[in-house]
Amino acid sequence: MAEFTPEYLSIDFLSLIEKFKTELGNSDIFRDYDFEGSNIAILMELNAYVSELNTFFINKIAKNNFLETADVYEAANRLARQVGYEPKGTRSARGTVTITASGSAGDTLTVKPWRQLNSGRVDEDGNEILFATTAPVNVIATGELQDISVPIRQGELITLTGYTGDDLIDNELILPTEYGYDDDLSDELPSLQVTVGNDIWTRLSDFYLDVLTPDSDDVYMFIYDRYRRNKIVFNSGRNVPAETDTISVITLNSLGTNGSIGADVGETWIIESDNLIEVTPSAGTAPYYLDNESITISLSAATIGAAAAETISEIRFNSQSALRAQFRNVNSNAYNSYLSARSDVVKANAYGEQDLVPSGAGDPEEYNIVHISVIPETYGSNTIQTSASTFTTDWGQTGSILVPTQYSSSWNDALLLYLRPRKMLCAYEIMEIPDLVYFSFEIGIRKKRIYEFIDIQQDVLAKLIYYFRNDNQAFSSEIDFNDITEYLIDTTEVSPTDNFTNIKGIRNLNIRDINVSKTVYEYNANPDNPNLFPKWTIAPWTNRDNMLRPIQLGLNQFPYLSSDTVSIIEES
Amino acid sequence: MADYYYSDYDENFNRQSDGDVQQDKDLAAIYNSLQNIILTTQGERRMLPTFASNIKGLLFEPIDEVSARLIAEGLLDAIKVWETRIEVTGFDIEPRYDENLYRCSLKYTIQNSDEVEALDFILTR
Repeated sequence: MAEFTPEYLSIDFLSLIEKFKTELGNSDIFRDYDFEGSNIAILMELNAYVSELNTFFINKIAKNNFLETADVYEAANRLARQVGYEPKGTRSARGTVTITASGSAGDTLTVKPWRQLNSGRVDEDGNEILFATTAPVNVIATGELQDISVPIRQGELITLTGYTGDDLIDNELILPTEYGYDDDLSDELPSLQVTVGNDIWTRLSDFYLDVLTPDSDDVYMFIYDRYRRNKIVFNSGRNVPAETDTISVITLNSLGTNGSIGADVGETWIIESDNLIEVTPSAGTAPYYLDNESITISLSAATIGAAAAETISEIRFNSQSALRAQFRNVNSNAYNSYLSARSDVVKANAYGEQDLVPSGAGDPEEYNIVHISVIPETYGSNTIQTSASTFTTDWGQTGSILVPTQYSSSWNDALLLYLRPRKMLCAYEIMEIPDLVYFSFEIGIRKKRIYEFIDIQQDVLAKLIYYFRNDNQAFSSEIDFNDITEYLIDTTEVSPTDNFTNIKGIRNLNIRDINVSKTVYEYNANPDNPNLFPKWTIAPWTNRDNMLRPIQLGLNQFPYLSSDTVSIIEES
Repeated sequence: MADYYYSDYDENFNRQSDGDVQQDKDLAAIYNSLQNIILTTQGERRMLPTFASNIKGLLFEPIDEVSARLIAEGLLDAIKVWETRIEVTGFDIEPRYDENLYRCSLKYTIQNSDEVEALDFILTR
């Protein structure tokens, strides 16, 4: 019976030689196959060499017919696009700077888009880490110095001009390859601007998507192609620039992951563009620009979201996920990943009837309802409004905490609008206010002799803060003191910007107490019963104090650290 | 049972009367092998870079006794490693200064035989 299964890897040079020798060994005709100098040995080797080359390339072609086994970027990129996934190129770090400026009360201050800011830092290759504003921000001046939160993207501003519609080949404009273009797709904080004639066109992730507002066919896609080139693609089904139309592109040359920076500690940012802030007087007089010398900039939180171009394995994973979802949010993961792709959303959790009433009996009032909670990049009147509260621990520390109160109506609408192209027709989505559960810890440490306790204390707190960073946590998570203890003392667990080197100085670390800003409900052995959260995940021990049982959060609950109240003490 | 020990095919693909490629048997087969060892330079053979000798470079050196000795050593080492069917009983190498060549004579016996065979050849650039 013939063996039809191709065993490519077993048809290599040496195994072929062995097969030839076995074959010739059964015959008297050519006996010299074992002597390397013989003619028959040379013929065997020639055959085996050509066969191995053929086998290698047949194997390569066979592997690259399937996304699962593709190992050539060009093939992986094309296969992913066949299933409707657009492989992504470099993405820049994003962050929010605080710009401090002042204007006469009632005037409108506009932070202009596409202005270059220099963080004053350099990456490991010595490149300046530059940032840029890419969307306008308007505030009303109070008459005093005021802080303006401005989202920024990492990258050097590049303006590409001189193109016309005549330069398009197959409706595509291939951009110069020497830049690492920021390929992030965001409506609020664009990464490039394409102007055709005098009009700014709209970037789409797919030509089949509608542009909701304004309704227009002046659209393009920004694609990272199979040769790792970035190109602007127009579609004849929509609008294509006329031959005489001028095309100009403003974009960012990104440093990718090298461009990510932590919060600044008193560095001086330099405004490299003229005219950062425009003042529109309330009196109706002509607008003017603030002197850059009167403006200061600081970065209060580390930038996030930087990524290198997708690798083959990332394309494989992401495209398969996209294909499974069929461009619809069909389950919680699809909602969460789609929402988290927005630059203003850090974490999201979607849940429904099965999560709320897992007994199977169901709740008619919950049919087809999708509850969604999100953690915004920054809280405020543009996202989720908050009120301040305080939290006092058993050990007498008091700290301030945020209590989200309501979504801003514009952001609520923006999120629902963002979900609309992927909405299941039967689904009814409701935005739920995230419930922030603050944790505080009393930690006792015994240190090694050569380390200073103050250094260890600082690193333990820094590591705890990193552990509870929004992007490291999730909704509905379980907070277990054992996990936290192991994480804190594990010297291999580091952040991208801090190695927490003084963790090595810990001899013993014990979490003595955990305080939670909300009532923790008692363990309920029957999960079908209505659950109240946060709750202990195990029943109390009967014979000893068990204050440190793990705590399970509810579906809209998100863990925060009350870092002001953490107590780290030296024990002897 | 065949009446020969060793058999190879003819390097010129000459045909036998029945149309098959001609067999080179015993002495002719060993001659093929020696010719391949002598005429191949190390590194030429795909997947077997150590095959043969590296005397080719020596042919571009001035013709003298030293070069002749090195060529002889290289050839004998290669034959010892790659042609185990024979035992070399003598090797003469004579530089011909006027003709820019070496005249060589290899004497050897074949396994299972006491008969001394000789192979005379010329090495030139």
